[in-house]
Amino acid sequence: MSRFVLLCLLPLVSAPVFSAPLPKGLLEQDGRPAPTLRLATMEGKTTDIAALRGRWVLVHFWASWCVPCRREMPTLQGLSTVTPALPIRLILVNTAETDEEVFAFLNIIAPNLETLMDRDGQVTERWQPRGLPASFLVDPEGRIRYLALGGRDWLSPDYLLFLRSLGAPVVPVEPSRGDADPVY
Amino acid sequence: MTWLALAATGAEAADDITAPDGRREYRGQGLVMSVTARTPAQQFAFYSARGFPEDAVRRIAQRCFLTVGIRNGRSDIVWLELDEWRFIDDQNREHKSTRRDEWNALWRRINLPPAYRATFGWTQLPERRDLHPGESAGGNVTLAPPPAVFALEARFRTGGDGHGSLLQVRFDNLSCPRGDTL
Repeated sequence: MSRFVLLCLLPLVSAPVFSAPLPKGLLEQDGRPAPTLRLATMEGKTTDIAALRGRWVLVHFWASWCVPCRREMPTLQGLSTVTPALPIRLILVNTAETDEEVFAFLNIIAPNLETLMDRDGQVTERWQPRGLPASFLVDPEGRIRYLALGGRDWLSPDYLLFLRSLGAPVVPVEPSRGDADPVY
Repeated sequence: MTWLALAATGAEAADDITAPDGRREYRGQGLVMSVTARTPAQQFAFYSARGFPEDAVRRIAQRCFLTVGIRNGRSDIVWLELDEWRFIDDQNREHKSTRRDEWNALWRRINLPPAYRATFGWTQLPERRDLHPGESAGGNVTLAPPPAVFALEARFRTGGDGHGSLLQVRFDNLSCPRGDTL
């Protein structure tokens, strides 16, 4: 899908959406607190996920040797161009590779993306992804709400619709027959 | 169910179709499973290119590496559990796979830096995983090279509690290429 088409699609997606269907490949999580994540880019710019409370964060773990990561990364770059219109912040975390390996990869595959460097792999271990690539959606209160299984096209309409819906206002739901969990 | 019972029921054999890269593939029961036996040169090239120390690469290349891919195309959970897999040679001898704990013990002994341990770990197939519908898992399973051809018998429990139907897949005539020594 071209970027032009995507930008045309955004106004449609930006319409108030109170609930969007869970896209295929996205798994609901138990809302456990996200582990700490404070890492720097190759240039030394530090990001601390704790400082991003108040908005949704998409945390993506990857490595250049991982074949699905190579396929998914261009779609993340595409997503990064539309995230200003989406209620999320995108964070990339490279797992245990060197500056040279990461630079050589990103420079070709997704030159507009920056990644945090988990140089010894310990932060990735704490997050316990199910494999690489892995993407977690962390809610504004710092809790893990969704896990994306493997790689996907983040620019597909169902994912864009879902990501946009994360910023929708909470809809009061009448509890009925014990279904008392709050619904976003 | 014991392995004796499994032998009685029989596992579904993988197709004999072999891709040019040596990959063997099975499709059935809602599963897609592939197995590729790596050569020592491939193992050496992959880990050397990522800066692994020579001692570590040498030890890696001494092992048989099977790159396995599994995709759950079913509508229920499929349990990937390496405890449920067996490697049997043509003399009916069982060969144990090398587990993460053993690799980690080795890495501690030779003081492999944490970054390489992490990378090595992520290139291994998970030892236990509930594969959700549509989910894939991939990575290496390692073992001491069996002396001749061998079979991989894998069984998978299904369902959230593991009490669904039992899936069984068998790859015959696998071998670990040892010809292209380093």
